[in-house]
Amino acid sequence: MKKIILLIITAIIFVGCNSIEKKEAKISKEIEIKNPWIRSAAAGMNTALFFDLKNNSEADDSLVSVESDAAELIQIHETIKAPNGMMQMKEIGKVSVRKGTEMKFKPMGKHIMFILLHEDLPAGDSVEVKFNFSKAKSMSQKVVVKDFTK
Amino acid sequence: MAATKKISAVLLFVLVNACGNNFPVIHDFKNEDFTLLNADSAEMNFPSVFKGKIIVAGFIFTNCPDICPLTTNNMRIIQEKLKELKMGNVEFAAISFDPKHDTPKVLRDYIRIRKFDTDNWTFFTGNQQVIDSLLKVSEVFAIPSDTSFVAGEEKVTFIHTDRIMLIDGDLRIRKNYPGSTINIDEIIDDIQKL
Repeated sequence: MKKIILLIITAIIFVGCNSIEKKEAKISKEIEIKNPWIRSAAAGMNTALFFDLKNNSEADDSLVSVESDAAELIQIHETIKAPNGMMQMKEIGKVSVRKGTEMKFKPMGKHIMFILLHEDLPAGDSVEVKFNFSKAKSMSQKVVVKDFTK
Repeated sequence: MAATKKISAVLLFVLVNACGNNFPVIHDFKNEDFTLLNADSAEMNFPSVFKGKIIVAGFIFTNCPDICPLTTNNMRIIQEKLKELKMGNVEFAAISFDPKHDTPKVLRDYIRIRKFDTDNWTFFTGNQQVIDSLLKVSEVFAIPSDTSFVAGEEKVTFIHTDRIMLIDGDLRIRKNYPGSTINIDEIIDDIQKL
């Protein structure tokens, strides 16, 4: 009898854990961060993080903030062309990503601005970055440091 | 008939080659010099220190996270391609329009972390008024925009001209390019024609 009860408890735990794992996998796939990289920079400087953000979910979502211990302040920015061949950068509060679409954070466009780096970020290193969304669960990811992409 | 064709071809060849380096003079630095500081804090007179050589000069500030790194990366690619072509008569200059922040030490850190080849590439900073004068004659604009204090440190961003300029051996600006999106083959071709 004890063996049967033990078997039932084991089965419940197994099925329960399995469904939690499946749920977590589903949640993590709702939003995908692809090809992330951050440009190398020295301690005290600013740099930028780039990636592709894919919304696989059934609802529109927004990237609302990014966290990392690598910098004193992190903001969502966009580089825009000003008149007469001038360039400027502006902070944007959040970035909406419609369901089933992909948003590219790339040089000369939207990027994550890391302000006042705490330490050197040489090419080849990596930093832990947490992405926060308005609906999807936050996700942490290791991001590789590169000098340039070409 | 065959002789006429040959003569025409020769004339066309001469004409194309004669016009090949006929870039307009955008600005002549002949009577101007700007005393700047390099990353080792040594004074250098720009551009006369490079007289006789072709100069590829870009304008940057080291806190710029997006456009200026693209400009310096393009300069790095141009430098590498010219080395492959064994063209040793070219000097590179990256001039900061944020000298208040971009001290020689900051420039050294910038060079170190991005592993720039300083064999023929000088990073410049200097007195703000001198830099402003250089920007003015080069028709480069850099206007401070957002200023914030992060952990007590002032961080300034700029609305700025996206510029790489080509200066000939007689210290004349001959062509301007968008620094972040420059056509590498075009400037290599232009350098070969100068």
